[in-house]
Amino acid sequence: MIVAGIDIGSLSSEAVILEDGEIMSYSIVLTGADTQRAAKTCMQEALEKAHLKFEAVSATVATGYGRINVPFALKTVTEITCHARGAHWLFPSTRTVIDMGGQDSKVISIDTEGRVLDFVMNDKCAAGTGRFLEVMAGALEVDLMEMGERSIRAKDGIAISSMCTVFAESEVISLIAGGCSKNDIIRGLHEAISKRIFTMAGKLRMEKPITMSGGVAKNRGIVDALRRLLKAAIHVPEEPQIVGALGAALSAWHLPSEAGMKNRGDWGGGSEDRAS
Amino acid sequence: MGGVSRRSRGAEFIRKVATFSRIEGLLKDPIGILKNAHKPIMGWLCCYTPLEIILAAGIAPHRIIPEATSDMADSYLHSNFCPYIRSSLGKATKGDLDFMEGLVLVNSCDGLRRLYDAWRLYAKTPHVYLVDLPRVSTDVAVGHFRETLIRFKGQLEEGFGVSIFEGDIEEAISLSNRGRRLFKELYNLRKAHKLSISGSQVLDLVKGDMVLPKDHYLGLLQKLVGELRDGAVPRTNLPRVMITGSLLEDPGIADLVEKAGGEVACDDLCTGSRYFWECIEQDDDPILALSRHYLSKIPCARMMDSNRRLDHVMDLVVDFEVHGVICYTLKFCDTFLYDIPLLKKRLDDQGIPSLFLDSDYTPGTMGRLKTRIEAFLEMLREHV
Repeated sequence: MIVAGIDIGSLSSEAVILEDGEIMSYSIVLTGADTQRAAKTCMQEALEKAHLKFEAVSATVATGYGRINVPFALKTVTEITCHARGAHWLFPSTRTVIDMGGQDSKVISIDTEGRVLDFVMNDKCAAGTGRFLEVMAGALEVDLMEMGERSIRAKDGIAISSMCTVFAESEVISLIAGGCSKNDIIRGLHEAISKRIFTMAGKLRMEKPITMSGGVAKNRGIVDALRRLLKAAIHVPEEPQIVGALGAALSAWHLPSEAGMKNRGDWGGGSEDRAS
Repeated sequence: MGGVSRRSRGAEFIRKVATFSRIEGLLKDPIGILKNAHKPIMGWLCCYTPLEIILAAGIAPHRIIPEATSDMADSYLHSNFCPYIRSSLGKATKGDLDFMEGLVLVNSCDGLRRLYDAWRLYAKTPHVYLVDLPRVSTDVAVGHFRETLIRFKGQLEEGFGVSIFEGDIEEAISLSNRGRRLFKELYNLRKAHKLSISGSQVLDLVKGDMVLPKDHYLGLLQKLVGELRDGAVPRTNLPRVMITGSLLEDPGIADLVEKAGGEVACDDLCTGSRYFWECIEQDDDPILALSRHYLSKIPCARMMDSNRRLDHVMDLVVDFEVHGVICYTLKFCDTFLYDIPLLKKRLDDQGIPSLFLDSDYTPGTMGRLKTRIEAFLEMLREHV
């Protein structure tokens, strides 16, 4: 059986296609201002990579903050449940998931079956999110993808006191003006973000092993800083951005087959041809 | 989606009950109905307001409903006050509360004290009172609060040109107890899974008693409870959620819980069970009876004895067979925020999942809360 999961995030959207419990393909696109188009584009891309037509997919589950805007999804499941399921599937021993996405971050504690036991979430301010890093990369004129490596090369971390994106940006500008090295500033930023996640995680009974998901997990500097703070190893999937979509696909997989499991026909005209 | 189709059958049943539709109709314009009663109207905010003395004075008490408004009185109060306080002052300064001849505040928290200061300066309400409420229920405190209530009675008599006799207060206590008993019965029916009504609808009924003319409303409520007693609907197997915390705004998260496929089994809220949970024990001295009642009822987090409230919450969890608890506070409601780690620990120890939510009435908050509530229910469904 072929199923799909779609994760419509605030910055990026992902699709994962599963066949009999194996990942066939996935795609990552920017969400932009049109959620429905993003949903369709990323699904399309994943279908193309798997050489499939939409009709071959028996069920699609949508997650993420735009989950209600996926017309061809059969069901929506929250990103909290999906990240738990995705992380559990990738690393079955996982007991805590730290997801750092574009505009929110969450810490989820799960049981041995991958079921959510408790969670905390920050989605009201940009602190501790990918967006925060983007703004700081802009202020420092460095490439976002370089930040991880640069912070590892840093000699010293500089203490960044403000976690508010607006204030931290002006703090960073003062530090640049004061002649601090970019690498040291970046390391300071990573440590500040990690502390914030660490504090958030303190509200839960956090157990190990820990798995990280979301785009920010691609930043080695942050993963390292968190590792030091949590004094624990952290699993990072090969592609941490697709964990939510993977969880959604797994949810589609587990939908009871007798529940009239057929995708809705809202895929839209013409697109099937391009999908083949 | 786990949505509308999951809604309890009870919620559907009750819509067909004529008395309920009538109450829903009244709730659309409570102020219009209050005005028709031709009594002076007295606003109140806190559950510790001695409503029976107001009723005894022939005045209609009317709770200012916690709800989002466009004007949060930011020019008068700092934004680190809770949204209930700011939105209430916002309504008053905008002129939405000009129908009120008076307002009674209780100094139950710092926010309400500052509201008293600001209200007298910037709102047009003719009579504004502040009732001083002790934080303990010792004999000394009960004696002191009795004196305070006597002084408050005097203020009402002077302000509104009325005389309040002991008999009036006794009568008001009986009326108030009648409502308390009816609501308790509604909750007990829910406990026995016999209630053909949803949790958010019950909260609406409680709200009715706070905002509508009491005697008229209780007549309708009595009729409705009678009709519900017979209308047993088979219990659902939806996850049963309890909401505990300060107060729910309108329409509030109870509705979100139900839309996400949960049953609001019971609550410990200022806009719910804490308003009526115990009856007032009559005494030869009715004001002493009131003093004793208000100081010893199931406490709000502002009272000294946190454990009593937490014990009560844990009892409700057992009695109402609750699967998960939502701890809900308004932003900057420090007294409740302070209790949350204590409560969470108790729930964790009993293996009861809990979710902490807060709200500041800003647009968009409901979307944030919705994701958390849906995730919480997905979690409960996996474990129930």
